[in-house]
Amino acid sequence: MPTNTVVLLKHVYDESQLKVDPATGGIDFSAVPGKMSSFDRNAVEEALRLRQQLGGTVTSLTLGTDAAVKSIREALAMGVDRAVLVRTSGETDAYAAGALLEKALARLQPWGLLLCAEGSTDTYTSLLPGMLAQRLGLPLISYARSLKLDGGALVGERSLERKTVTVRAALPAIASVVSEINEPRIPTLLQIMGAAKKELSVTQAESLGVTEQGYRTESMSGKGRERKRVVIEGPVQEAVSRLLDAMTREGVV
Amino acid sequence: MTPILTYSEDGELACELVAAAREISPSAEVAAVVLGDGDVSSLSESGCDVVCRVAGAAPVPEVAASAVAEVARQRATRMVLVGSTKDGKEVAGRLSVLLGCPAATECSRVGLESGRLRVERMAFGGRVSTVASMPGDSFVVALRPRAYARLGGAAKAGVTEVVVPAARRSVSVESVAGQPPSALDLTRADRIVSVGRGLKKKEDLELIRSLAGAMDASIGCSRPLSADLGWLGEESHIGLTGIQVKPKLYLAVGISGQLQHLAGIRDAGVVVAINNDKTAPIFSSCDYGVVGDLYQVVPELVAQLSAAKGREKGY
Ligand SMILES: Cc1cc2nc3c(=O)[nH]c(=O)nc-3n(C[C@H](O)[C@H](O)[C@H](O)COP(=O)(O)OP(=O)(O)OC[C@H]3O[C@@H](n4cnc5c(N)ncnc54)[C@H](O)[C@@H]3O)c2cc1C
Repeated sequence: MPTNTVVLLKHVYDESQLKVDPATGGIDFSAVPGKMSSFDRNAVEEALRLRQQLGGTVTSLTLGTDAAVKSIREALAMGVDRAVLVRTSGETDAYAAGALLEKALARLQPWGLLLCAEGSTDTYTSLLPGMLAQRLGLPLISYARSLKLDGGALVGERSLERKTVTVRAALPAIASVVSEINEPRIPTLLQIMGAAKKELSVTQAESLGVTEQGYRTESMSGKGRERKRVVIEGPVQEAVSRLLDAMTREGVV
Repeated sequence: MTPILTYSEDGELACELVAAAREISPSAEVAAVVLGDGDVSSLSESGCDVVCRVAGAAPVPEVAASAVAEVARQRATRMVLVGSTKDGKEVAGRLSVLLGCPAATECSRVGLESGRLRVERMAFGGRVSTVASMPGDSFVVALRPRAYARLGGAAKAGVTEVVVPAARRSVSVESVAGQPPSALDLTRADRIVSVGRGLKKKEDLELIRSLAGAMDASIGCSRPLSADLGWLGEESHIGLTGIQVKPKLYLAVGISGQLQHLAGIRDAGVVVAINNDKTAPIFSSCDYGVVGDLYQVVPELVAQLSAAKGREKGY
């Protein structure tokens, strides 16, 4: 029997385009372009790859504002079959996101595999995989650097700090992936045009029931650590000698 | 105040969490949860009031989360600190749902202020530092390794055996490929020589090893070298998605200095870069930089370091 996959997709501010006021550290988000959270491309790619064996469809599920449509279209161009946007008015904290996604996932039944990235490139909390596993009571293979299907089971290599653990879980299951799992495809122009015709359904987050948010962002600062920025050029021997002098003065060699 | 629970599968980090709990409240009871039958002597001397040992429980995220949640239920608390490791972040997500309270990961600082729990963490690839808050009596916070130093000179706490209902295991382990246990913990290194894609081939790591040897430094790397090329292990990967380090000296060789890499070295003392591209972003984020080919600069640096050492010894 074909098994459907759901892949989570987040639209985020492009962190490389943030404008920071060097004096105050204040951040101006108004002109920052959005993009698909980088690792989500790997989750989409993995869903498309596994679809060949699972035989079902791949649906992307996004929590976000209308701006997210840009990233959703990209995923559809990559090959995702259809997309769902749970429309929110702004940023949702991880706890509420878990509650909302649980409800949205129930509406997408039947599915046998839920894929997502290890974390998003904006807040990078990495909380959702564990939250969803707990809410849905499903096995989770987190930080997967490889995934394969073996009968009705998912086998994955978890890439941890000091070890790689190969684990097995029966479907339905959840996996969060790290970026080295694959090389995401780049859609062709034809696929990009075709994506506009694919189904994108929108649900209002409020209609799923409101969740209390206990997490509050109080302040943000883009003030980096100031470094001396002494750049040494010139013949190698001389440059190295100057570097060594500097390091010696600093007391670090 | 209800007790503060701490848990990490990493022994050192578990002790650091106790220090953080003490900072949240000097008077609240701090109960350190530990799974399995290992040695708890170090944890019991970390400054906690009691060690809650859950014998027979495997330190895998799904089991750990349900065990910690059960201890929390027994002690009527919803204040939990865990370690911000990969497993720890999965545990944090699970605990947040099990206890019904907000969670924050990758935190470098935690404290109570006007009844709210405040945490500091980075966002946007390390570009932004964020202060966030949660209710003062209900939170799961995952703290980064080395964010706090373990407390010294603490009295030995007693060990209580806690019985929890056996957790259902939905994920079975087939095999484990480990790093050698001797692999040096970079988060504690005083000097780090770190290498990136500027290195042309794996064999050239010898060059980096000779420099590390001459400087008495440990070796780290940018993400592509470990994650994509596999030239060094995942334990050497520095940055947002790897480890954060705070050595006195960080020497980046052939590393461009992207945001996500810099996120791992914010707390480094002196940052030095060797790169042949004068426009590489690392030159705006280092203290000293040499513009040059690493294949010429590194051997020269090794030679001059050895010569200097020789002079010191009076040769
Ligand atoms: C969400 C996310 C998370 C990430 N997390 C991390 C992370 O935790 N850690 C991390 O490191 N990266 C991370 N990355 C990747 C990061 O963006 C960069 O791609 C990566 O750090 C680049 O590694 P690099 O500097 O070694 O390689 P490159 O960017 O390719 O730079 C190589 C440098 O070597 C120099 N070079 C080349 N030849 C020589 C020579 N002969 N002599 C001297 N210099 C030479 C070049 O001028 C260049 O500056 C992440 C990316 C994303 C999207």
